[in-house]
Amino acid sequence: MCYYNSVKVNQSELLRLKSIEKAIAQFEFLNKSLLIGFDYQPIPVLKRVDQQTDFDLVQMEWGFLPPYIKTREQADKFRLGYKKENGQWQEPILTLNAKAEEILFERKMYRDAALNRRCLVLSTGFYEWQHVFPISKKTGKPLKTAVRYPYRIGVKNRDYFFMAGIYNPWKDESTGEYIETCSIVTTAANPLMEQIHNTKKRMPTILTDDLAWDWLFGDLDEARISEIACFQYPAKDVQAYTIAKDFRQALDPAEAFIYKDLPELETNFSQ
Amino acid sequence: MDNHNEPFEITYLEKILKVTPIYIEKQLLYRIQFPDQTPPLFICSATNFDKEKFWTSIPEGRQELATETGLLIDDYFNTETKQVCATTTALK
Repeated sequence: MCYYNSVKVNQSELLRLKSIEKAIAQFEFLNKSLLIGFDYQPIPVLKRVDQQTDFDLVQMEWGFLPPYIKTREQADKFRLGYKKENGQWQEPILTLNAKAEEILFERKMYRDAALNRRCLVLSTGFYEWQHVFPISKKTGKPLKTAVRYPYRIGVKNRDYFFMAGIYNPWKDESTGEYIETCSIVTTAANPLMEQIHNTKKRMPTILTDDLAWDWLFGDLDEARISEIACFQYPAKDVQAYTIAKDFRQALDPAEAFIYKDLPELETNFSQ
Repeated sequence: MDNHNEPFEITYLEKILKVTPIYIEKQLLYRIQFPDQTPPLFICSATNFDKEKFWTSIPEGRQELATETGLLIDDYFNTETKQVCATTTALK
């Protein structure tokens, strides 16, 4: 006798439901329209199959955990910060992104992964906030507090694209839980992204198909790793539009939303 | 149940839920999205030992929600069918 949701079903019905369940697991994995970094949730990643020009599509936890983090409790402290025994606040260490210019620095936690465990993070678009400082009517100068406008950014004529990533296998020594954690490599913003992410002027390292192949399968020296990591996807091939400020709660976070007072972005790029 | 492919909305506990019909493994399922932090729900129609239809969540574990939203989906299609019939009759 078999059960499903506490309702008795026969074996063939159970098999049907279980096969759908497995298919859904794959579907849901690729059907998330919004992944919020600070939720440290799984994201779809292409990972090289050992020593082959083949890859697996896997889920990795977004937020690189270095080997010296031994347990989930330590991981949470590492990511969220904590109060030390002396009462001081230990700031969180953010590893959602790895700065391309620094990933190969000696003693940097990302170095070994950049040399040996590169991956591709699959994306259909990402979200970024633009900070606009309104002009004070009294002083004629920009106000100190910015108004923030969210954008969804994607690649023209591509349903999905690849971002350079690096990963690290990680095991919770107290429970035996094994996962792979990853970080998305970021580079200097291109002229379009400079206008959107206008505070930090960074963007994920989006790769062309050829560069994605090299990043995943190439036998690369440090100079080439650095070169690809710093690649700036051409502004002319990137598209961006504003979305609602409450997009995180929206049924469709990618739905366009027009802000009447917001000047349009400069999009006339030759490259 | 004329068109299973178009997303539609149902109202559940005064909230608007988006329902997207999806074929997986050649089976018709419904993916239900909530306007809050409730995780999306997949439901499908199944048959019990007594050959009675019931709505189930996939994976299992959200049976009550599956039953309640499933009935709303039934209502939605029943209403649609009635409207189509009424239109057809009116045209005669």
